[in-house]
Amino acid sequence: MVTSSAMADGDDSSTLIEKKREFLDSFFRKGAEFTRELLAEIDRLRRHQAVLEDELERQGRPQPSGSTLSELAAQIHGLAAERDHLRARLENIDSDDRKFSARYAEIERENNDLASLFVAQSQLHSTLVVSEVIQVITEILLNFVGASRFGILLVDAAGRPRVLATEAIERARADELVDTTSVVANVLASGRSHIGPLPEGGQSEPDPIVCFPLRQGSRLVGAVAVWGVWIQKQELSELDRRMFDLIATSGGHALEAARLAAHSETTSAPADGGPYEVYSALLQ
Amino acid sequence: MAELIALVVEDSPTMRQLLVYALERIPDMTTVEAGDGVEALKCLASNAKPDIILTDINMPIMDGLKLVQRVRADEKLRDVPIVIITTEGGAEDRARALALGANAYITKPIKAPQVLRQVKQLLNLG
Repeated sequence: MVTSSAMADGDDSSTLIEKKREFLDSFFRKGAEFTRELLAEIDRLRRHQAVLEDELERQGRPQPSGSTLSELAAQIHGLAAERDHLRARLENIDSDDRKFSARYAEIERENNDLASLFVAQSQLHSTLVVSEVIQVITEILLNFVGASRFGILLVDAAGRPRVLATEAIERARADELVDTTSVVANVLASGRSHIGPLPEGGQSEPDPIVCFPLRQGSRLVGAVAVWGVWIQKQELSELDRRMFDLIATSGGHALEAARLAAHSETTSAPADGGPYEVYSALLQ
Repeated sequence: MAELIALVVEDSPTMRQLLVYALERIPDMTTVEAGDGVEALKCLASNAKPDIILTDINMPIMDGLKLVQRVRADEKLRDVPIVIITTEGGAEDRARALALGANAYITKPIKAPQVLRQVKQLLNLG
């Protein structure tokens, strides 16, 4: 049998348990709430830290002010203009360089041409012996021009062209060719050179490839007829033409100087007739 | 720069003068001239050793081929570069000269730039 005091003791114990349970529930609930609040706070602080880091980074690289930006833009513009100017100048320098190179090559060619003309001219006047003048004319045609087959003609007393000397062609054959072609007569009549195109193989008959007059002052005394050039010769250059002009004038004068020298050194009377007879006699 | 010497062997005074003119455009180059092979050998015996020899093939007394042969047989001269001057038609002589020891050839008609190019190349003058 349970007494009332015993019953009272039992009620007290269950109340105590109930209170303990309530305390523990409340304790854990508050702990959970505190933990949630703590997590929220950590999250907030993390965000704040990120904001602060951004700010710190911005402060580390200061943003230019509006005026600085304008100055920098102006500087960029100036540099771009300078670059364009330098680029244009470089192009001009390149162009000038190309012009100078071309001009240098031209001057070099002209220098070489003048040297060849100078050597030819000085050789033509290096002797007062008719045979040597003929030899020099022959060498110039052979070695400077590249003519391989030609004749040096002078007019005789009757005004006909006669072959005085030849290279790589018999004199009789050259005389035949001169009689056959009208080119030599035309050159002697007009005083103008005949310069034809180079034929295949570099040989031409009966018309010469080149025929130019020999002058002594304004007087035409003969001509040079070229019937062949060396096979490797592709064209007649400007220098070749100038060399023909040089022989036409200086060659004629050199022959005349040699004739006068020969006559001044001999007591015999000069040969009668045209240039051909006079120079033929001097070549004897 | 040390003086360079070129021996020009050519019987034609006209050609010789042209060659001398071309060669003397090379800085410090001096030329010695000879009219044939015998004269060239005399020059070689009495003058300083040349740096280069330019010789025609067809010459009186002693031609260019014999000169090439004599130079190559001489122990003191065998290393001197030799340039022969020939006509385009002289292929046989050219081949013979090269076989005898000539280093290069130039064909007539002679142009100064051609001479300069060949000589500068053989003398490594750039």
